[in-house]
Amino acid sequence: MQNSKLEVKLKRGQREVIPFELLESKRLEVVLAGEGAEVEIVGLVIGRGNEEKTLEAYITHAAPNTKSNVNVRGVLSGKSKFDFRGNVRIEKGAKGSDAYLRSDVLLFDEAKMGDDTPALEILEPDVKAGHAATIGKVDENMLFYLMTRGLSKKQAEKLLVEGFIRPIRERVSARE
Amino acid sequence: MNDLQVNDYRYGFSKPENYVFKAKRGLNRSVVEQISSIKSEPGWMREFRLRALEIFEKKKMPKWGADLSTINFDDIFYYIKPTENQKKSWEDLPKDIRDTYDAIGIPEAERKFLAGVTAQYESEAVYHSFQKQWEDKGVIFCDMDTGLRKYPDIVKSYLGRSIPPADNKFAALNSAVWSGGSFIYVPPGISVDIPLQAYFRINAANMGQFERTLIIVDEGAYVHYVEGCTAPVYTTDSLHAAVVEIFVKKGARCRYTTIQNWSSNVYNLVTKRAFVEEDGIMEWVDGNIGSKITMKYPSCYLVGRGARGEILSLALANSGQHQDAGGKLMFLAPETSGEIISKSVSVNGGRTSYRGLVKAIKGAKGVKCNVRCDALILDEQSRSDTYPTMKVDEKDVTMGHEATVGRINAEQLFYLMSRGFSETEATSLIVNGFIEPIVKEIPFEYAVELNRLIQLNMEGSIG
Repeated sequence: MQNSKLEVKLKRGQREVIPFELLESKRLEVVLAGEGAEVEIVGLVIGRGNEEKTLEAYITHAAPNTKSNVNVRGVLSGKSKFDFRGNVRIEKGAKGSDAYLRSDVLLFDEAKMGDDTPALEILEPDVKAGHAATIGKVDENMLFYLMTRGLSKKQAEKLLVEGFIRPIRERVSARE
Repeated sequence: MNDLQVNDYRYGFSKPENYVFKAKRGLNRSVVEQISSIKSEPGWMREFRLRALEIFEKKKMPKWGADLSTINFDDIFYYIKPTENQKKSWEDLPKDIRDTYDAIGIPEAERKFLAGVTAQYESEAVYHSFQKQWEDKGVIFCDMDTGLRKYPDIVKSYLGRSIPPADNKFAALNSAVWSGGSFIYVPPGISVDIPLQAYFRINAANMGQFERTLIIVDEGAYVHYVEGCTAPVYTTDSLHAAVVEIFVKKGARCRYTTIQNWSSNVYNLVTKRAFVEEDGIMEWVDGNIGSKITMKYPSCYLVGRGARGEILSLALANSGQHQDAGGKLMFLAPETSGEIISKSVSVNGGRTSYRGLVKAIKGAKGVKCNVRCDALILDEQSRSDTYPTMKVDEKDVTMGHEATVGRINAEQLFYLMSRGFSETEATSLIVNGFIEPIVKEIPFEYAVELNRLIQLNMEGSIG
């Protein structure tokens, strides 16, 4: 499924979980076509060396009471680069829809976040929609705490990165 | 659902046109040369305009954002000079111009002892008053044409430096045909603690207004500039393409407040950008209530260590309106920081789009940035979009973005109605509460007007 385009159309009451580790670029297109359809996208992105990866996630809520949740976490090191373009569209009439789009990326070395655009297009008022994105380094307070407990900076960083990706990693491995 | 009387525009009166000079419709080399010669401008400004015109003709319309396909550049007046000379005092102004200003409350503001009023009526400032106390301190506050005449060296060295004509099609257009706007220079260490204000109006059908504002806040100085617009309703579309350039020097601070309330047939396409040097602070407070289409993204280019940029954006889109607004923060130096807060409300089929960019370049270590966008959609005809982009080329940053979209909380509405408020009143209260974080940053007289405008927009929109 890597370096590919995945199109999913979900019918009434259908529920789909799409967990993956992004090995190469990927485009996801999900249409929640039937009432009560739900999709959950769980993505893990590890960038090393000169890797450049792009994830595009296009989700359309076309029916009432549909639900989408996108949760992407990335750890980029070396000179790697990651682009994330997400778009959640809630069509008119898709009442009671619930959409959440989230991406968190940790940067190390010379890595960069090229383009991080989690967009929302909402044409229906009776919805819950939100997104959140963070980009940055590991939390300095946490790092400091671990170092006061005797860990080296490297060990502490490793621990924090593991903690950061574990919830996603577990979902992805459970699938495989 | 009742229709809101969108035509019942509060300030929608217009006065008979009484112009000394009106350029022909449409744009070409000779129109630009004519504008420059009427203003008796120096040769370099004429060249600047003509170069910009060439760029404008070559540049394509933006492919993103709002729909601008109905603008007809050949059907616009690019320059109108309203009265022969600039008048010194209020009484010297022609009566119908005075009446127009009376209706929107300028004399009141004057009575309230505000520092200065540059009222741009049509393409040129016709009325300009200034408190002597600031002049004594070396503060310059005049219209841009006067600025060019009296301080050509300052204007020449800053004009187009933060927004070159080639920046975008509308910046090029403005550079070619600009007229009026404000010129402000605040000398080092001077704090102007009463806001400087300008009121603009467009008062001729099919007339574009292309004001150009240049603000230079020297080291350690402070100024707050307030730009508010109300315009009468017309049957044909009007174009407003302004350019605002701001330079905030080391340790200086500038706040720029806009309440944009063009009538619902105006295309409002504005480029605003501030260059902020070491430890400087730039604050944009940008309210967009009117116009047919607005595309405006005030920007801070944080070029000096420790510089800070803040953008507070407020948008209200009613029937037939598209507010495509937001902001841009460019982190180009270490330890720079910034925040964008956007609140938008769509009602009666209006559309709001938040569009933002935050970017940190390599080496901009210690950058901290927070973006927050909240949107309310009040009915099924309306639409709300959020297009936030982050680009980060430096690991040592902390960047966050958060957005929510939703409708009015039914429990809050129910509670207020159980206390005796009508649905309209309750909705107005909730909307005013929703935008309060931005309104509280606006000078009082404007905040009052804004709250009234919100209420007016809510009337008939619910139920």
